[in-house]
Amino acid sequence: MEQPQFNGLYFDGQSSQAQPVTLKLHEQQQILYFQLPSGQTQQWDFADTAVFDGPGQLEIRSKSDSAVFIRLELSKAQKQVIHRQLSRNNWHFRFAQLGLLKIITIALLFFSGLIASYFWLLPPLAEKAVDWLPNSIDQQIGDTFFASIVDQQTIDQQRSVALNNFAAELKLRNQIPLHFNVVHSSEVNAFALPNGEIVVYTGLLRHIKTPAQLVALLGHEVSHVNERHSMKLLSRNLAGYMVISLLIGDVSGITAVLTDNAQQLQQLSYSRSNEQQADELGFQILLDNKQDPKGMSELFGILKKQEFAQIPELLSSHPLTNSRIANIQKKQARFANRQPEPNQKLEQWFEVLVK
Amino acid sequence: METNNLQTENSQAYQLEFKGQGAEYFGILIVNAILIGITFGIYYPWARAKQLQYVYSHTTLNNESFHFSGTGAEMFKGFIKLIGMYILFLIVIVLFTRFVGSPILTGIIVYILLFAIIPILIHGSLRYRMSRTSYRGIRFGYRGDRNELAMQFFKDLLLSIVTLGVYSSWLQMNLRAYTHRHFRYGNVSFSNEARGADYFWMVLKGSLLTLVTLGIYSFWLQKDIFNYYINNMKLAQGDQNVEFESTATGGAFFKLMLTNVLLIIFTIGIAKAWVDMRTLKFVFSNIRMKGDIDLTAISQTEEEYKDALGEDAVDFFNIDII
Repeated sequence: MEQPQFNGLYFDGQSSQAQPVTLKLHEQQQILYFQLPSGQTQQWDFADTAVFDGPGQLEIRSKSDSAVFIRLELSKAQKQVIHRQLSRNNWHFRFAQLGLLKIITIALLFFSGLIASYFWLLPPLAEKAVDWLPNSIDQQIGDTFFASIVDQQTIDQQRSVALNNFAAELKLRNQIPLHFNVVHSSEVNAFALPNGEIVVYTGLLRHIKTPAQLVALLGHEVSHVNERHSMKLLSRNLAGYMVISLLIGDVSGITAVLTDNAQQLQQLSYSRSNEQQADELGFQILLDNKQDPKGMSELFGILKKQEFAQIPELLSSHPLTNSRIANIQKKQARFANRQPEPNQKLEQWFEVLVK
Repeated sequence: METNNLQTENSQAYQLEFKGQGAEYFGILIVNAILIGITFGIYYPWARAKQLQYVYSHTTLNNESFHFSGTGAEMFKGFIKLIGMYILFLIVIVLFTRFVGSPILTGIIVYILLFAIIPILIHGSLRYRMSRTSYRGIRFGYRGDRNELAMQFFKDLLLSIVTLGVYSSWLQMNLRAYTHRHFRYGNVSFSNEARGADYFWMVLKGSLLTLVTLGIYSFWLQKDIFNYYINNMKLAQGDQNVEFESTATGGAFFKLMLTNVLLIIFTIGIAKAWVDMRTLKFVFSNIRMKGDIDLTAISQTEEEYKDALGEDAVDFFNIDII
């Protein structure tokens, strides 16, 4: 077979003087060779060369000393001949050789895969990661932000004591000690911090008419703590941000996410499944404590009614969807014949609270 | 006078050109972007090498390309080193806060360390970048002394702080002059006569005029700065010389920048590849070289230097030296 042959200029890496050479490619032996004007011949292994494209020219450079090279003036077709033989191991080149259509397809597949895993794979993984974190982190994060969130507002000491006593009468399935706070505010809101601090605003307390409704509310919030929902949320947000910042190369923003989230711990928007889980576990707590099973749906009713008057904070962060209401009503129906047992102490503390 | 001397019978013809094409460059950027994505960013140094290689090999002097021989692997190692330095930096800060505990003092230390590292990074990146640049098989080089550069930098930095920034013109020009004076192309040496005072008055005048003309003069100020940079460069090989001269005009700058901005806006950034190419075309087509150095008679003098520490950092911090 005829060996391809090209005329070019050789630069020896010693001076900028060019020497004319004729280059031959030997495909079987994977070598190229050429003769210098001095008569000396040189041969290079294909593997020891790197090919560089230039305007109307191609440079074949020695990998051991890139200053030593042969410059060929070639047409596009001739360039391809050389590339096909010498750039075989260069994966950038091989990738580019795939053609525009395939590259675009790969890019689209890749990015849709990325987007899909960002929305469906990353959140459960990030939530799972919380299981590996020690509880002391929940404690620290909660402690740090309890002060900044609550101290600015006024804590109703008397009612807080009553609320803690009320809660002490309940089985709340908690693994960490809980502490309850009643805070003066017209907002219809309640929230739980990961360290077990639970805050109920007087604005919400005002609308609660029975101990069962209050147990439903506490059961719901306590379940957020028990299931470490805010840690899961934080982890989800952080993981999402980390992926994005990896892609756009900005790392400093991660701290911003931490502080942003922390400042809004009281109005965290839990995921729909977390909300539903808190509803169901809250409902269980209602049953555990032998309270009226209607307490949960009555609580929802209170919140729903408030939705028309003003948008309660609690709803903007825990949107009360129809599916949540339907879900609880279905559960309630199954326990409709369950008779609540009156609890003297609960009633007493409840009286103090709603006074 | 001197310029006339240069145009003797020995005078050589030089033509600088940039021959990059937007479509080709776009192809490189897009392949790079995908590979960076697939490898979760690890490909970045290799992508950068590809990009630099394209730009260098499409810059020609008398129809001969320049060459960038830096590799992704080298720059990746440089990047790892940079991360190492960053971690060391964090450890120092953490230890310092623990044992000294004064936030103000720690802040001062952080700034001192940050500034201390700048000349080291500039030095490292110039040595690497120059040594990895070649033309006709002859390497460029940077022969500056790191300590000397650092001393000059700190002195100028201190004066800039004391003078509330006025002296920063001198800082910039001294840095430029020092580094350029230590560039080499084989046995050709560079010189640069940039002076802080010239630059300061030029920028002051330009800024005032920009204010008066509601920003329109800024293009002419750009032109002045560009011309000042170019016209101050010189090459020498023995008693032979090359001088540089810019032919850029304010009007041309205005046209270039306006069209660039419009291109970027109306293509939501996709035209970046084309904008980069036409900007480089503009730059190189506006540099004239006059003199009598024979470009085919240069000998290799500079060694290879493969430590890319600083190359990425200079890119990250956007320190523009060359």
